[in-house]
Amino acid sequence: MEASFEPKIIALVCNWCTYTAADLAGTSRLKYPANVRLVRLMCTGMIDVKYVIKALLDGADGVFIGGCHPGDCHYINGNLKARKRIQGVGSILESFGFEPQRLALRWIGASEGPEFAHHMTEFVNTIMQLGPNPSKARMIL
Amino acid sequence: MNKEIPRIGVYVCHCGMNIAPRVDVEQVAEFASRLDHVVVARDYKFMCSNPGQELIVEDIKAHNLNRVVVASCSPRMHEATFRKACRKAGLSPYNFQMANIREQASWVTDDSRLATAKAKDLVAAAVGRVAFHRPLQTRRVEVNKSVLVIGGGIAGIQAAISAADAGYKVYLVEREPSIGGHMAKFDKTFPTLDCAACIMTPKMVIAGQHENIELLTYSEVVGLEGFVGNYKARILKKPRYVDEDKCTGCGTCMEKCPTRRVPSGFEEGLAFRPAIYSPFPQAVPKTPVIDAEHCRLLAKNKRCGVCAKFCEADAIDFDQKPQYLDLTVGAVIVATGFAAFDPSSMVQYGYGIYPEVYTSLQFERLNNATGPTAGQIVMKNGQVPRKVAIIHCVGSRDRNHLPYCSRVCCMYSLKFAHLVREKTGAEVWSFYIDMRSPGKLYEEFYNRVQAEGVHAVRGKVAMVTDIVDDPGRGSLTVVAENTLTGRNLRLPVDMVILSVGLQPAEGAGEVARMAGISADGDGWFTELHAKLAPVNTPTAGIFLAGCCQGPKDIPDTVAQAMAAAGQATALLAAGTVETRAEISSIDPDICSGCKSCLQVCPYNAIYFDEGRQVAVVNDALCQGCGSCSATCPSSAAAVAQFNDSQVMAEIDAILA
Amino acid sequence: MIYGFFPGCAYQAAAGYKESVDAVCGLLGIELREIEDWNCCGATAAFSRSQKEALVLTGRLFALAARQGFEEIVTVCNACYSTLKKAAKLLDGQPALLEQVNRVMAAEGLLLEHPLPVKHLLEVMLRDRSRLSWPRGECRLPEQVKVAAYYGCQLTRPWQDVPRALRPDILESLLEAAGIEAVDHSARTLCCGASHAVAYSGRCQVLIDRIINGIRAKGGNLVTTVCPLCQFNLDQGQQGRAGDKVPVTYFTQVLGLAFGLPPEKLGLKKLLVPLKRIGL
Ligand SMILES: Cc1cc2nc3c(=O)[nH]c(=O)nc-3n(C[C@H](O)[C@H](O)[C@H](O)COP(=O)(O)OP(=O)(O)OC[C@H]3O[C@@H](n4cnc5c(N)ncnc54)[C@H](O)[C@@H]3O)c2cc1C
Ligand code: SF4
Ligand code: SF4
Ligand code: FES
Repeated sequence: MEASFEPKIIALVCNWCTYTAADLAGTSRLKYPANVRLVRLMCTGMIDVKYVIKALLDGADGVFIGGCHPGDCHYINGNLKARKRIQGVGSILESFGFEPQRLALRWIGASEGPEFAHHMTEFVNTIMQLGPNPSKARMIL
Repeated sequence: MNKEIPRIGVYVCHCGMNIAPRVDVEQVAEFASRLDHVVVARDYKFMCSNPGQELIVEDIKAHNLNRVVVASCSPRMHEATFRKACRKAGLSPYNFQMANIREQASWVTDDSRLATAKAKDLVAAAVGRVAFHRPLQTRRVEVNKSVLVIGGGIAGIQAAISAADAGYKVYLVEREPSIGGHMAKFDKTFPTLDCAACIMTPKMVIAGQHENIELLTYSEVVGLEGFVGNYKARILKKPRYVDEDKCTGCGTCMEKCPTRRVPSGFEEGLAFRPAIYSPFPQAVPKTPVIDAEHCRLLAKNKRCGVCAKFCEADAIDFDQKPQYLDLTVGAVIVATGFAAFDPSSMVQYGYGIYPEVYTSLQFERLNNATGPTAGQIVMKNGQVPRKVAIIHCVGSRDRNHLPYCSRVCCMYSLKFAHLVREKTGAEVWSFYIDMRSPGKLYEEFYNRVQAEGVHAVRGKVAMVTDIVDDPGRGSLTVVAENTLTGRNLRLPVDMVILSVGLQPAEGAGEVARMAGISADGDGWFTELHAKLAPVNTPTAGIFLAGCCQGPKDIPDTVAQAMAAAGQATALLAAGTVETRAEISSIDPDICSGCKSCLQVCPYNAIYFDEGRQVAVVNDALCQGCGSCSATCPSSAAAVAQFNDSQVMAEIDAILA
Repeated sequence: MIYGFFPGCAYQAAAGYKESVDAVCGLLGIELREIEDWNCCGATAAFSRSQKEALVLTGRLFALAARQGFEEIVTVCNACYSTLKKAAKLLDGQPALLEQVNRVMAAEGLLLEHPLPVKHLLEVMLRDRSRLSWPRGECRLPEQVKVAAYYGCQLTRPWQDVPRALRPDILESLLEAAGIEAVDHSARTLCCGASHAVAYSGRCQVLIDRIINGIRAKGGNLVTTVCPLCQFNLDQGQQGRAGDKVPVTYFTQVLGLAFGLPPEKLGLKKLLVPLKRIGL
């Protein structure tokens, strides 16, 4: 069981920076763990807190949010609004029984293909250490 | 609202050998065929090809499909292609979704089992969300019939002239006192050795006098927002302290100014200029500027004003203040060029330590008929050098500095070799890593220069030093290995020229940020597609010209400038652009009137309808960022194509 | 201040190095406390024979120093310096190597957790200057003495942490702190031939001549070095020269003279090219 744990990770990323970085990682043939599922949004600023909670309640082992670096958001400051919103979610997660490390927010610019691959690897490693989503475990019990 | 039952067609692309066989496409198609609402699912070699698109069109008709999913490459690549195919078959292009199984699965995953599993999830996600897509409406809005060009080098000048000739108003913004850029510093240009001034000066004059071009020199763009067809730019005009309308360009002020020893940037520090100056004799415009940092009156508060006393046109105005200009333009051409690599950090070459070590730009001035030596190639002591070393690739192809090839340095080094031979008869030794001469007439030029007796040594120079074994034979020693003979070399020379690489212009990052375009890891602006859209950017209405996109020679720069002008004027000629469909709307039946969205909208695109006590989106201003939808506590605001049911369906399908 | 000191094998025999280091350190309040039971660092030879053996030699030094409570190791020799630095970089980056070394050292009951920082005495004097009893008085070196700082090639290469490695100026800065304005020259990091000066004396003579000529061309009439082998090569290598020899000293000898320490305490008599050539 332990050895075959293949986490499933939802990555909510903005179209302009992080999605583009993912494309660049692809065109550069950089390898990273296959556990990540990208959901393309126009900007991190459109990420509703309920997307994060829903993903975790439905069994995602981690949620990664990726947007433009501060100052680079295509819509001026959507990323900063996202940061504020996401900072507030940590405590809610704990009350739902999720470790706050299951949610990560990173800035990955359009030209940062290697950084994208690196962050994916790093986040997957974190989740591997945390183990499966506790709500899944509860369901099994 | 949308009661029709979804009938979805799914198309899994092999992309030749790019997706298959790493992703088992047949298995993915078979998996898709069992998903809810999927009526047909197929795999095909090249979905973007004509037959691939026809497959979709025929299926839509034959199976009465009302939704389409293509699993292939990035939507940034082919979304438009497939949307067009849907439209052709009478289906709304918005009832379409792409799953990116190439950049996100086959190209980044080694294990084919995992890649296939991931591809299935991504297809399921696309199918899940497309069921909730619905047709969207767009409008056409007027395009502003003017162009903003940022940067007045040969790229910006050419782009401005081309667009102006097509009948459009052009604002050409240059931060230096004159347009011209780097080319204005050259005397001869490779490979034809034609006189740079003879081909450049007329272009500058045309740009300066064109009825459709407004020159804004000594100016910078400090703000840029808006969208294709409708950009708002804020320009800062730095104070010249000389009234452009009154100044006749006579130059008396420059002769009389008592501040004489300011190192001239245009002369690369090889000569001095007064505090009031025009960078070079053929400057456009001719109006000088006062360099406030060095002016006795402005910087040191001393009683001077000599220039004002002698100016017959009464053009000097010490009270000028920075001015801001707000422009509305339909398109923007970015042409900010390059900066030469500063070799001071490469201590081994002794630039800044030994007086007879020059950068290539300094050599251009040394060789220039209007330069500090009136075109004589001489040392600081006035004597003609007997032996000259030219070091290629300084900074370039070096992972400590610029990892890339700067493309023009081999060629301009050969130009220098020729000029030194021709003008001084000195022995010339060129040190190169690889000789790169890929261009029309370039290899021929290389052969010609070799035949002129230039010694070309393949090997990177280890150091330049003033430790000489025989003081009579030159003040410097070049230490290198000739990698073709395997011998070490200690070459005594009189003069060393460093062929420095090219890097993005200072402040390029700031320009990219304002224009919302991206730059690659080295700082060069990224074009929309490396092969097929070399002057476009991912931001509609913003185009690239010249070296800001990457190092290139003058012919390529001019070609790209003309292309950028062509793209920009095509946009303006169309007259209107389609508005984006992916914008927000607020459901008045749900809106509670809390006004939270008004606070967060970065474009002030939401107003409050006091009568109905609800917030309303102004669809001409909305950019679709979704700040409102994520904030709205009653979920009344939603961005089309990214509403809750669509995003949630996508997440659901992945986790199912 | 107390420093963990690794003297290295050449130090004792070097012409006046030890005397002058003792005299200057005594004046400045530096106590160089020898790492007890130290061994040869292996110099360049050990690494070219076997990396593992070389790492055990150096690893042992780090382990001893750490056990004796030192936080860094101070050396006075370029070869020791670069050998220890090279070892530190390898051991720091590759846990497998560290483990290998620890397995060997276990026999002696030694354990190394991580290598210590390595500094040349020149670096610590400059870094800790404000905490030393640096003499206030005027520089006693006569004006006609034009000092040229010579680094040799190993202090900045290849595991360089010294700023501006290709044209360093830390020695000039130290001299300046003692009131000496060093001449600006380009021979600072040219190689003196090091241990090859014995086996390939002919070829190394060219290198030595180039260094001396480079310094003389810029008006230098006294060379100051930071390494026993450099000093020896440059001093010995001038024996065949005619009238234009320049004395080659250790930096501590020059500092001692500038601080006004008695010349007889600085081991100056041991130099081959005598200082009286320049009126000292
Ligand atoms: C030493 C040397 C010799 C060369 N010789 C040759 C040759 O012989 N033949 C050849 O084909 N090519 C040659 N080249 C290459 C040639 O210089 C370039 O192809 C050409 O100059 C590119 O033009 P550009 O307009 O893109 O850039 P630039 O000439 O760099 O012009 C850019 C302009 O934009 C302005 N600018 C920058 N940022 C801003 C901003 N934020 N706001 C406003 N203005 C801004 C700058 O001030 C500048 O005027 C040579 C290059 C070098 C370095
Ligand atoms: S005020 Fe004096 S120093 Fe300043 S530009 Fe005029 S003449 Fe020159
Ligand atoms: S999506 Fe909402 S917040 Fe963003 S621009 Fe449109 S109305 Fe404003
Ligand atoms: S567009 Fe990338 S975070 Fe806003």
